[in-house]
Amino acid sequence: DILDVHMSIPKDLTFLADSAKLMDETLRNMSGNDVGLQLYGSGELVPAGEILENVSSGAIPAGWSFLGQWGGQVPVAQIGATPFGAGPEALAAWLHVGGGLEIVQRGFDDLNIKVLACHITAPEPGGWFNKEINSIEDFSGLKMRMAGVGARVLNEFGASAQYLPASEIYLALERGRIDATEFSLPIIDKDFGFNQIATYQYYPGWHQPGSVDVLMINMDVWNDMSDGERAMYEAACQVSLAWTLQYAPSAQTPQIEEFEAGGIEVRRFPDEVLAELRAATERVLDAEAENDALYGEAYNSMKAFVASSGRWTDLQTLPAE
Amino acid sequence: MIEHIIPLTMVVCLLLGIFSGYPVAFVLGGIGILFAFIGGLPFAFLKIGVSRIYAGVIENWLLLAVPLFVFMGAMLDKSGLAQNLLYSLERALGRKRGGLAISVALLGIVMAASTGIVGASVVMLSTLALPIMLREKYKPELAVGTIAASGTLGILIPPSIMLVLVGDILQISVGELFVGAMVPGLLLGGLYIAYIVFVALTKPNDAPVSTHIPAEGSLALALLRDLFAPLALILTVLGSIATGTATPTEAAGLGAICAMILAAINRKLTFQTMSTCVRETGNTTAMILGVLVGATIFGMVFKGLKGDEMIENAILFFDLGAYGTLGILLLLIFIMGFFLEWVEISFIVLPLFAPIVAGLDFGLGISREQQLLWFAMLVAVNLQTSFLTPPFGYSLFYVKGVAPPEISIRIIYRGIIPFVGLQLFGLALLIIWPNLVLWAPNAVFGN
Amino acid sequence: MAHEMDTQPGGPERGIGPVHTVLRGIVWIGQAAAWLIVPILVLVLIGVTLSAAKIGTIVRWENDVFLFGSKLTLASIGDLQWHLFGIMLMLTMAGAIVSDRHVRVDFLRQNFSDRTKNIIEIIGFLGLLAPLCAIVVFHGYDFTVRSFAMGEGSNYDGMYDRFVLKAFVPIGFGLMLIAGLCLTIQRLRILFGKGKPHD
Ligand code: NA
Ligand code: NA
Repeated sequence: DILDVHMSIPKDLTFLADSAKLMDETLRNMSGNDVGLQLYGSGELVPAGEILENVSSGAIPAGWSFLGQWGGQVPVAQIGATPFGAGPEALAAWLHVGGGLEIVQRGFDDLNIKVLACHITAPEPGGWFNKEINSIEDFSGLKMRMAGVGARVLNEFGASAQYLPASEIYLALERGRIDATEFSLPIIDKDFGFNQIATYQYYPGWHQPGSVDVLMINMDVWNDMSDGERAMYEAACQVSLAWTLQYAPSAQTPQIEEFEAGGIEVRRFPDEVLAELRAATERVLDAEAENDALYGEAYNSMKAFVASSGRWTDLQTLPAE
Repeated sequence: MIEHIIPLTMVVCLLLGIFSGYPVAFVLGGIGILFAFIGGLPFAFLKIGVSRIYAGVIENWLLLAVPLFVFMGAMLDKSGLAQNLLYSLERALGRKRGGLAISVALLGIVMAASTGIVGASVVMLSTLALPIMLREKYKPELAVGTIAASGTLGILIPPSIMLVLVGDILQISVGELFVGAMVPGLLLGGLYIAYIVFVALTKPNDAPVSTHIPAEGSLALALLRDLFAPLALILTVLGSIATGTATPTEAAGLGAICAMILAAINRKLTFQTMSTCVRETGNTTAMILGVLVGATIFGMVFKGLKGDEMIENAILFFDLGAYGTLGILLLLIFIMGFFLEWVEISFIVLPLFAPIVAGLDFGLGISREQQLLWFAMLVAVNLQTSFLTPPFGYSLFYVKGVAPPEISIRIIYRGIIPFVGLQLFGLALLIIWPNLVLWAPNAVFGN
Repeated sequence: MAHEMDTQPGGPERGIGPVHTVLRGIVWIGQAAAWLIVPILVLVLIGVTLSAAKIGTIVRWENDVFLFGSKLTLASIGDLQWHLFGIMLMLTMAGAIVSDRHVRVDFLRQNFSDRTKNIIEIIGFLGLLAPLCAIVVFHGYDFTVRSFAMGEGSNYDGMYDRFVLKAFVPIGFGLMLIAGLCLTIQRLRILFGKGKPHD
């Protein structure tokens, strides 16, 4: 059957929506057009912030969104973007091989939702800034748009991190109501025109080295599918996931060069700043892990999984050119 | 055709319901609910409606500007500041026939540059200016037409929520849209003023010289005194946005606080004044946003019953070359403006229209992006017009909501028609000369 | 303002009895809720000031507090503004029905007799307003309970316990349902000669 999927992003958004379209295509090819996704963009029918609620209640059969978006409702969802956490490949591996997705799924069981992790976004830039960041003190009083755990880390340094919906960021940054914003990958940020109104673009994206987007299906709908259909969803999901890992890295550099040609100064946060941010992140996340047992389990499992391949990675590391 | 029978009936019932005189908000919402059942949508589908009311209206931080601006308008009105402001502006214009109406249009442009919320600026202008214009014996039609049209400019002149949303949907830079909207916005404002001047010259009784202006004293001194309040207010609202001290929403709040301070200086800030303004704010906010609540339910069911496919098929039915297709698209948006809210129109049709437009060849020799930018602006002017088109123009409802009872909806409809004509004339100019839209963004961003 | 005393025929200012008492109560609730504009203005001023002073976290404390979590931040101030706005809107909509402040397209209505108007209002309530409110109350209750069960709240140091705000959706539409019902009872009385039209 064709599944109605309501997304938290515009239907034609570069890269972020392309993986959902690819999944639809794969399903249709596999099933001779019997199975597929009917995609609806954000706001078309269901407001972006209300997708979880409506999939859970059964008002809509399925939704597609950034997993971390639901941190306010399902604390374990915050694992979808962990500051200084796993990078794209490690995150994909933890979810699908390291048992990560099963832990996340337990958080969604009560909501009657089946979670498929079909999209991983490469590390995003650290953000667009109109103020220089030379030391950790520069975050004091900085007004930055940022959601989730990263926001709470910045607040530790006296910043005023606040969440603004995508549609308000441009105006707020242009008028100086905020000094900085993170949003998405360079190829996506370009569509929002942040390069026209910011001075610096900072790297790395410490706040989310890798992030997951999920297909959420109402559990009754999922259970009603045949075994064959469910297998097709799992397989098509992996196809999209693989594509996101393969596509994102090479597409960014030309875009970054285009920003630079347009006058944007591309910089890296100083290493001391990153060290301070890392320490604060551990404090915030450890506190969060104590607050919510399931999040704690996911967080520790991810850390252990990343560490377990450390020896292997070290042994295999080739000297830089 | 047969599969479109339900959405089509839905539109017909909506019109019948509206003309029955039952409150528009509940006709919209109620027809939505009834047709969800008639159309056989699952009962659970209606749960989305609650989400839409919550996320689209309550959680929509931008709409907070509505009560704030309404309160500011009421406070200016009750403290007598509004009257002084308009009279001063008129004196500055040399007390000519039609001067008051021109002042209102200018005030509308200033308001437009400080907010993008149509309901708020229309209501504020009506509260401020309508009683004064009527007392000065302006023809009611001209008065309400000027107010509704000028108040609606806010959605076009940046900052504009509509442009942000359109930019988001069409994936065009909001910055280019903002810059591109300047010339069309001022062009329309200029057309309104030219029309008022024309009326004042040809039908002097429709737009008389004000008689209640205190004439004594030096003009310069009076101007200085009377303009202090409005200037303080404008500086507060616009200045706080321009300097990045406040978001447009917060600026509305600062404006309201500033109006209270000015009223206090004028010795008019009594408990009685506060209480009246507060009650007015509550009722007017409920009235404006009630319509939005109803519209979000209607739009949801209309979409659920494949009303959007009905519209899509209507486009595919015609095949008329570049300008012909553009004309049909704009006509469809214009017609939808009779019964849908601009947010719904944007979400429903823009994603459908964008690829069609991008593929058209107008022989203008401009890039695909520029063509889309031009189209976005045509859509924006078109949507702005839809606020004004009878029978279902939101701005007309807002004027009606705060106007004295003797201003019937019939007077409002008659009054707005010339302004809708001006809108369409402006739209035609933008179609003929795309450079009216593209010149400014090209100059600023150097494409 | 021209409409201050304008109420539906047989509105709350006139008459006695339980129906009038309820209608008066609904108008009172709306007028009381409208005063929320004052704290909103104060919060806007605080928000702008703190933002200019570059203060993000205003105060933090030990244990989690209802609605506010463990700190008061600029984000909490921003959230609180639209929370109060939402409550104000939901509570004033019913009062605006009683005071007849919702927009009508009246150019045909002007020529209708009082009897026709009353019949339209009764049909409108039964066919449009009542189903709308009933559905929103029914699903809105569910919506609120689920938010409570999830413990929904900010994930950026803003406001917590979102169900409190969400509860005002079914409450507001419940009030509208009651307002519509009371006005309909009054109109039925008038139609069947058991009440007096106007004065
Ligand atoms: Na504007
Ligand atoms: Na219209």
